[in-house]
Amino acid sequence: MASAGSGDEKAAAAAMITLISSDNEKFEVTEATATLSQTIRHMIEDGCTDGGVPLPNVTSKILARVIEYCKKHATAAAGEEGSSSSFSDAAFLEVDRAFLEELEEFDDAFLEVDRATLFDLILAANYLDIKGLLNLTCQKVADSVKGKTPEQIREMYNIVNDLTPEEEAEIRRETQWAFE
Amino acid sequence: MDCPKRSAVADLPEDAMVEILTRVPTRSVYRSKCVAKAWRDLMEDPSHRKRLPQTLQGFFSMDKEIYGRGSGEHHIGFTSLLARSATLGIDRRLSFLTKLSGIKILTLADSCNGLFLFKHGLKSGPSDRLGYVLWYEECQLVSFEEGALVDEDEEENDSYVHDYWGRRHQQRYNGDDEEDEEEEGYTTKDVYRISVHIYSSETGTWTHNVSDWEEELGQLEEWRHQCQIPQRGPGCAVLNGVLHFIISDLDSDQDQIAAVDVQGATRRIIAVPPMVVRKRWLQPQSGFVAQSQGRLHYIYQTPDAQLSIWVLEDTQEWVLKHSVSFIELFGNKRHAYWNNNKYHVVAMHPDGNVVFIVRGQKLISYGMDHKKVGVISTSEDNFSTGHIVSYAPCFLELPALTNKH
Repeated sequence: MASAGSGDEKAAAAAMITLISSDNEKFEVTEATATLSQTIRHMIEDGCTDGGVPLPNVTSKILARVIEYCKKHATAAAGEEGSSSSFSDAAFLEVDRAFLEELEEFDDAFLEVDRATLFDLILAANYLDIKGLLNLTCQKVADSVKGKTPEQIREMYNIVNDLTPEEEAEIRRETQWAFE
Repeated sequence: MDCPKRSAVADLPEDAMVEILTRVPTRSVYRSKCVAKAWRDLMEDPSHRKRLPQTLQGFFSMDKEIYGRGSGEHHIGFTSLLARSATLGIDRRLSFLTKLSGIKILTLADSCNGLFLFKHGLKSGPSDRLGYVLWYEECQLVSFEEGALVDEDEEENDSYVHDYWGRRHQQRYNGDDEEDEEEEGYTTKDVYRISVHIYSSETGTWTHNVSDWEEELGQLEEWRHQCQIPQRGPGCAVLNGVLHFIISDLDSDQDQIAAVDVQGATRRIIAVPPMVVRKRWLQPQSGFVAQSQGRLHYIYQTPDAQLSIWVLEDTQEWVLKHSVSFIELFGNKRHAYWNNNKYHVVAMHPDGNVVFIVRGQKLISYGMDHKKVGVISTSEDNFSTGHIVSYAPCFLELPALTNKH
């Protein structure tokens, strides 16, 4: 943990981190936003974020999207903490619920991207170790694969079938139970 | 920097592919194996097997006694469902079992979720004390317990045990013990009592909470005293951490399904589908309970050689999923009753609409969707005399495993 949670949350939130994309664009984010990434969290803990965090695997276009996601979800995390610590009012629960709905809508809208961007987001989430984002993006691909035949999957993702007919027949024989 | 291995999908690293596949239902995962080489190889790579879903890989066939009193050869064999058995890498003969020292008798008690439970008697020590050896994938012993289950006060003539989440246990009290008889109010020679023992893979210990149960009245208490677990192990099903097994009511000859969770806290009786009325004099076999695709299934053979497969829906209602006649399948119209007894269901595929049936020396698969019969194996040994144990590997890291061996 960084200094967050000490009660002086404003100060913690004000701590800024600079992220540097592969194409050398700089992004200033709060520590609360940056630490949704476990990779960056560890860097902060190790005290090696001075002068910015270079992210050679992430382009500025993707990093901007990732930061957008983290900002939204960092606010959500902070909101949750606030409401659970001192308020249990029905009104606040209502606010919570509304906020969660909003967050869901945000996630749905966030996933409205082309396939290449989606895969880039998976790569970034994987590299930056952002659990929520990885879950969100992988689930989207998983849903697209679910219930599909191998032919449909190949077509969907432009995959060339490099199995020999014998190899494919063998797998089909073994996994016959899985075919409708 | 290490360069992660690339898979076929849009240059996603293998790690991300595995992340995706862990979110896909088992059936779809296995179907996608024949998308391309990279997909197949990814799923067969041992380094991913802890994260990717595992499924039925084959069947062990075992003599009732694996080794023991007789000095002769005892048979253990494995019938693989995979054509390329090389990818399995399991000890087909369970040869590690014969290396256990100090064991006089070893018999298979049961198996579930890739774990095997063996009952053993020791060469030294009190005569025929019973203990249990749990077997884990790739020949590692989970635990080896001596006398863990034998209650010193009660003479145990017959016991039946179960699985890694929980095990059911049946004791037959000797009818000569008059005190016991009176207490239970039975005049029959043998009194059965069922208790449930639960093994926790977290702690590696067994708990036996029969005392809690005795306080319960009504249905549950009834089944403990009036029911018995069918002798021919009809399998069990673990669903969301709840163990389901068949019990048959001694009075009505009716099957029931008992359900117990890991803590022994939730337990209930599930009635079998209402259509199924069992006539013991006609049909000595009870039904079969199985987990498939996340749902409880009840498979039943009627005396006129009809096989019906029921599924328990979320609404807790049984729905007839499939029904087929053995005569239709195997084409022998003569002596339907006689033939019916030659077949018995040994397993249902945990992820597909396939049941496995043994008929004499043949292990047969029956796919409900296509109504297709396939002979998996013709064994030189008679499949119907020993145990047929379905095997799906368990690659979980059990704390109990790391502690003991």
